[in-house]
Amino acid sequence: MGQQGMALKSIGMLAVCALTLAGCSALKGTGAGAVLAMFKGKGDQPAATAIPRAELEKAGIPLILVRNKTFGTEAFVGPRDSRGSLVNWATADGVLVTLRDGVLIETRGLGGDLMSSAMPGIGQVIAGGSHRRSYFYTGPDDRIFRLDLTCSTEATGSETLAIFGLAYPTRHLVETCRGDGVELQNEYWMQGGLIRQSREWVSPTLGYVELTRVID
Amino acid sequence: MSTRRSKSQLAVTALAGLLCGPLAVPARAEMRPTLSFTGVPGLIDMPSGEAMADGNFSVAVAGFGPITRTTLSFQITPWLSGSYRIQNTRNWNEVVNDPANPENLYSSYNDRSFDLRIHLLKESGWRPSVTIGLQDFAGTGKFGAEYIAATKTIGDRVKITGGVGWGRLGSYNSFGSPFGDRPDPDVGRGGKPNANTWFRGPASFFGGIEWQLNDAWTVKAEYSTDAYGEEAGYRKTFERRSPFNFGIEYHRDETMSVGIYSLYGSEIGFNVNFVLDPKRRAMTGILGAGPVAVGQRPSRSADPDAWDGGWVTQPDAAPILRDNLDKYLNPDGIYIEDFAYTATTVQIRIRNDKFDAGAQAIGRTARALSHVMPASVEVFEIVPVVRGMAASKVTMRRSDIESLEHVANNGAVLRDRVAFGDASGGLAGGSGADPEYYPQFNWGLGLGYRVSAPARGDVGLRATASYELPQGIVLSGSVYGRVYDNLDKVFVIDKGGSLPPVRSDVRDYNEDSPLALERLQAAWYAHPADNIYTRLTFGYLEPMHAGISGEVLWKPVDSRLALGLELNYTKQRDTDGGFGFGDYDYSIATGHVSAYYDFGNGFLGQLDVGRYLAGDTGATITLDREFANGWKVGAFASFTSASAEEFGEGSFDKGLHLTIPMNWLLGQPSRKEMDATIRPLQRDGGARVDVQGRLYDTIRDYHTGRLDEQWDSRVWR
Repeated sequence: MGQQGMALKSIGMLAVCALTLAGCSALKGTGAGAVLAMFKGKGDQPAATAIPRAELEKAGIPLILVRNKTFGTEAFVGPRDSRGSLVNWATADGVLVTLRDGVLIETRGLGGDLMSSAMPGIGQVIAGGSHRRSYFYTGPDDRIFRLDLTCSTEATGSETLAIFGLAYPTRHLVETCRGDGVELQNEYWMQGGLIRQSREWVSPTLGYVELTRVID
Repeated sequence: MSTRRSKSQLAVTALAGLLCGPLAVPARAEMRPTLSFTGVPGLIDMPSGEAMADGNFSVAVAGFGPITRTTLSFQITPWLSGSYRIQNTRNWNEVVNDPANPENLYSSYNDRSFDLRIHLLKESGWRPSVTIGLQDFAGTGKFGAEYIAATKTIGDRVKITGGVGWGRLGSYNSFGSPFGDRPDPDVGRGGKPNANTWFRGPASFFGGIEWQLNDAWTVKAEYSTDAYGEEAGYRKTFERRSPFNFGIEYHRDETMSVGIYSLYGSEIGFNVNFVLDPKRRAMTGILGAGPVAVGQRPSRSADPDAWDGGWVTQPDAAPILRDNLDKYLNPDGIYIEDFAYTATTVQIRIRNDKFDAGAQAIGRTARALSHVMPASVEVFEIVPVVRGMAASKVTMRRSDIESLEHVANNGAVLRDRVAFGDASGGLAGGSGADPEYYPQFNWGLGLGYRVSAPARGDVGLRATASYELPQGIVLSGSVYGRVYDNLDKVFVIDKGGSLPPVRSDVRDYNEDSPLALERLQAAWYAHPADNIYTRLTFGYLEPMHAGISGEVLWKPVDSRLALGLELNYTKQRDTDGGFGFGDYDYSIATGHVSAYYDFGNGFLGQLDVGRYLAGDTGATITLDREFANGWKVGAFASFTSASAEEFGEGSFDKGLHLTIPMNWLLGQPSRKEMDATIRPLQRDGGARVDVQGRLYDTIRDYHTGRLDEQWDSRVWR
């Protein structure tokens, strides 16, 4: 039971501000806006996985499904803006997940957010050798807490993922990180060089967040 | 560069065991403390040696037989906690017959008490946790007790408590008086610490056991050494047949528990507790939409024209830039009060209406500037404005904003590169606020309450409105309409005192005004010189007094110390809540010199010396603890020339103050707060004009003391 992150309670389709603020209003008339109207937050939300792929494709933009078991939240995010390999993925309410080189580096609006970090790129994760992660997250009394971990990756074989009606063959990687009396495991499902799905730890409040790339 | 005052906010945590779920209460080897009927960590009626987690705030409502207790407790520091309690005993005068004792006039008696607990030892290894407690250390002494209690955890489900108690806790089956006899408390009018009684008189051993069956259910048993001599023995309000108490409690989570008990072999009792940890937000965390990405300028080599400073000569540059900035800022509740620029520097004066943390408004403004300002502008000066006063000037370099956006620990890194200064006077080259913003009319309607006596008063609707004009002029008022009251249940006893009734006629004020004009005033705020702020308020300043109030405050942006001077001239208003002054022919000039000190870590102190409404002179000392999210708990006491006899019951004015920010409850951005002041008694000594909008709290949010508490976690949010 536990408190819900209010911003993510609804499975909102997103108003994707893919370019700038001006771009935001332009998108309202397109497929994304139409689907947004269908799924505006009210009581009986269907489970995210119940939405047919055809509906999602109407939005016309890449979509990642973000899930968090700790608070039972699910939301679709689309690319809001990008700079080099860094992409900000956002929901309609402005909840933000920032990925650099495919790896989650920051969140906003999830509660107990990861405010900043020093993370490896996906290349470093795949390579398997020892690498480091530093997390700076918001904890009690709104203070920033720091966690430094040393990580190594292990490939555990192939796995076929069924995502919204399509099957993807992937390689499953498990990254084990230790430090400060803590051990956690991040998981990546690689489809070639693309991260098809990942399960990454964000902060003590949130725990793990699962990111599934649904629409490319 | 102004250096940060408080030490770095970074904390390294040991997170063992916390990965599976939400952040738990700080990991401790022992079980969580549970509260007793007296609202402090304890068993049933007996205290234990534990302490609540630092900063925790609890409300306990417990009762058995004729007795009901409501206790507020606050863990002021990890080793010191305080409590404020009201105990109501029914059937107080049912069997006694002594007319000489004024207490016997009450059929139901309210006793207020203050406690202090000092946590001497934390539990670890073989060592138990040990606490010394002073119960009802200042007051009529009816509830007075002192104790040393120790609690040890066995395994991870059982706690054993044992201790020695004096006073009430030594009244049953004592083993002797190790420190001599207990003199009668020097009660006088009550309200003063009875130090000469502490740890004196008969002492007894008390103890008990607490067994946690599972995460939700706990069973307790204890041996109580409180004989209830007055309640059970003398007044026979209940029968104390046995010293053994038992009970079972349901703990829904760390925040709430309910219990049912068998007490003294004759009564069934209940205990409901709420524990709040202000450091943990009610809604998972700080919510609200994320910020736009920082705007990045093109490189000089790729686009040298963009870096040209010629745009400054464009006559319509200002309106265009302001419009574009509004597109970013207004959705975040930030409005431009003024705006001026050169080719390399821009100063923007903003009003922050939404974010509780000034640092977040500053960060959002920097992002907006990074998108809108032409590339040649390198220096951002962001000036938060409150009621027309520029509270501070935050200077940062655009290159730092661009380069630090996704750097690890960027909050602290940016703080080291930012300069804070004063921003008095107007902005040269600025054209002021958008004419559409002013006048600003705001209104609100909500439930309110008025207290005449403990647990007596009325509830009703309160309508407030404010009309803000540019240049720091604010017209405001509030009207209260009574909906329901239990005033007729107040049993009035002359509580003594010979001061003019500047406050003690509160019952008349509440009774006579079903509809009351509480406030109607015009205030003018200014920032005339560096570090100097001024206020002038005129009108019906508060429900009981009207007049004029002027204030000057000296407060540099990064100083721990602030000094102020306030002068007022007021007349006492009629009790009917209207515009007249005929009831009391009383006017007085009052004033104070004030010193404010920010001790760091959220502890604030204030000392006011001067003349109070009843003509008495003296000092008020206030201590507050403020949390980063805006929670504030404080206590105050006034010591004035009004002798205890003149003051009446209570001896001196004292009370508690509590502020709960709305954004803590909701998670979403909001600057609204709920405020409550609790006084055991409203008497006439040490009374200040209750004028709203004093300077210190108005501008503090944008000075480094407060900004730094929130900077690291908010400036990049």
